[in-house]
Amino acid sequence: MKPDTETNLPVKDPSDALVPEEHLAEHHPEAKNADYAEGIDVTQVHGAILREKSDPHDGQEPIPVWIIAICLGVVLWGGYYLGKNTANFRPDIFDTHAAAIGGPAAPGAPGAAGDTKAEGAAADSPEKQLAALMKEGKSAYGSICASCHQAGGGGQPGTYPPLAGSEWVTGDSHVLIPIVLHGVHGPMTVAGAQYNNNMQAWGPTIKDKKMAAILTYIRQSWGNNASPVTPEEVGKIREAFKDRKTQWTEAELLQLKANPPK
Amino acid sequence: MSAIGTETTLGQEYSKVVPNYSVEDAAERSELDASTRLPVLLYLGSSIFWLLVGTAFALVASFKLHDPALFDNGMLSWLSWPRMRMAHLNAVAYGWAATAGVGVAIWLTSRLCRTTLRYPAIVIVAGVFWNIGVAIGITAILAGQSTGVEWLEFPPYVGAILFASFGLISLWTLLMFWYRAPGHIYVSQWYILAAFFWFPWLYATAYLLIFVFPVQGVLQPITNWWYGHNVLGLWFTPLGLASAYYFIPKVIGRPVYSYYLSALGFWSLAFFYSWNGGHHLIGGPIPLWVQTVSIVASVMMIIPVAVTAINHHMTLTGNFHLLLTSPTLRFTVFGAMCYTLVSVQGMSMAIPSLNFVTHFTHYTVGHSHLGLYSFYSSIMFGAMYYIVPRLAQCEWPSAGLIKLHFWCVFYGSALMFVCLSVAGVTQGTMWLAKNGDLPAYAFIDTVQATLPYLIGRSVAGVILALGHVAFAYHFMLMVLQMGKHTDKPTLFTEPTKA
Repeated sequence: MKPDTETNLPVKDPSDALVPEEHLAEHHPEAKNADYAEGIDVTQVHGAILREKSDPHDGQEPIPVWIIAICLGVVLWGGYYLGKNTANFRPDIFDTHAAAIGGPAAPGAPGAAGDTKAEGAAADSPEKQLAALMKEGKSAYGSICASCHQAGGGGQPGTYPPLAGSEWVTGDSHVLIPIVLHGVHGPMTVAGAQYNNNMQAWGPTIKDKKMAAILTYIRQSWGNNASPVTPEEVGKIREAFKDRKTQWTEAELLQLKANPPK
Repeated sequence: MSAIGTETTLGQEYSKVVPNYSVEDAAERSELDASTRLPVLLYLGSSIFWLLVGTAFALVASFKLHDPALFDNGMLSWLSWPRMRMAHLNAVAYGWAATAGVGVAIWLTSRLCRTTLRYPAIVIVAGVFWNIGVAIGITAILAGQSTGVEWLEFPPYVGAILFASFGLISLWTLLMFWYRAPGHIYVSQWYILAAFFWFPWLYATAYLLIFVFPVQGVLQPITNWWYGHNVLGLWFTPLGLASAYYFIPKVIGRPVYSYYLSALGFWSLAFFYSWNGGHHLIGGPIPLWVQTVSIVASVMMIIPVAVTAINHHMTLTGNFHLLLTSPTLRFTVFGAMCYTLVSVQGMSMAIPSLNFVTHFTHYTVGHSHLGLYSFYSSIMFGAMYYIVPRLAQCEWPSAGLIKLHFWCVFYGSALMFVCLSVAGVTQGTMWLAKNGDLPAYAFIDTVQATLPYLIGRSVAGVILALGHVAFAYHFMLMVLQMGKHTDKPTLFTEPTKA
């Protein structure tokens, strides 16, 4: 036994006598394995090749259980994260994170399919419920509404109407809720200025709870001071107009204001 | 071949050290190596040439980042920073990394298929044309004819040359596999076959969809980064892993820990990696679900990476002292460790909250160098330290030069990684800092804050360049038959244990 020279491992070295002191330049190309096996004429084999270990092969240790557990855990997380952040594979939604930094966000991005995080708060005091609504509303507003109506609720003059100081926002909730549920289009006067734009229907993508949170938030922010909106109210209005497929016009909304739904 | 046989060793106890070779094995290997000598030395030699060229471009680009007036006399537009940067990327990616990878893969294929190199003309012609393509492409970039598409900067006609050459090599790989000696197919062979299937597919797809039948709008960056990331994950990574899977057990003379881990690692890499590219576009105007899928797939990479790391670690356990002696093992294991590191880092960078800080900063550049240099290039160096003596039939002349090379690689890449990471985080946090509603810093402040780190990166580049020159000189001595003619290998330290 002498140490293997490549690695220092003790290994059998049957070729001590065969290793050439000096290498011979050319290996006979016509050499066949059989020749070597028969004559063990390896004096022309370079020392590096002669001393190397046999080619690697596979051990058969089983996969440790904890690795399988980690793999399953990661896959589960992957499924959860995919489900939560794909926005129903819509091609027109780009971003969930702009809201977190106060920038503009694409409409309907996070939790468009409904965010159930705050729903366990039902047994809390009214103050706590209101605070929870406001918190959820602020976050949802930032990601869904702020891209048009802006983070400060000021809108964009001439294009998107303001929410701060808007009589539609602080007025009757039975008019405000349908606006968000089904959208509005056409000319509309808001806070003394005329707008002519198109707001999409949010009813299909925002659930009652979240919509109540958003409406409460916009009714009680930026100097607005109107009553909170409850999820039950949203649910009632949604039920009352469940067959409506079209956006509202200003005229229809004024009519609605005069004749509240039962 | 009984000792190496494959089926015969199934079920063998892991702890058992593999019995060493028989003389017939050595004779067969000698025949295999003789057949691969010319093509492999052609590929390795040209790859080292491109490594030097790419390093020179890198140094100029790096120096210009803290000394923008360098070479700026109005005449030398080809020395401008963008062209240097693109020339660097393409010289090291297509000139160095790919060529070295193919050279090592040719040698490994012959060894793994246990068949002499068939149709050497195919690989030689492909190698010559590949090098011509890279040379034309880099000249075109310097002349200002870049396409401006990252990772595909070569003008489209160069792409055609590269694809044709590569198609030949892939075809040759299949032929070799066809003629292989019967027996179990070792994990390195899986990675090589897969890589030689994936790369032409990736290259052709990206090339066709971006230049020939250009897709519209945001599909272009999606295609671009699908290619840009896959060229790392499904081309360089498999070649690096094939080499690591071969040389770690080869040098220590012990089987790879677990076949099942190898298989899990291979298939999970194949399954998850191709979805990763979208994480370069997080926050961009591409559909949210594309970003989300890429984020999830990036995190899923924990599976192949952890599995491979454990497999290598368990194979190595008990033999860490060999890192003191064997250059091949030390380079390969350093590379394999950096693979784990770079992959875990890559996963973290796909997580939106971190991506938000690091995206568009030097941090990403540090990450790429950790991957393509510390991981991939180290493994290629390790493989070459093993392969070249067997082809040149002499031993590396100087242990000192190998040591110098290793420590240059080690300290150079570590310094570069630290400098770029710190610079990146500095940049990212300064960009995001708010003073009320306004940015807290002017852009020029963020540039100046990174200046010390950029100078540090240039120092790191000089260290790496020193190692490359030493290595190239050493390689040249070997090819010129000026190595040691002895049966003793050139090791870091002489073996002391009996």
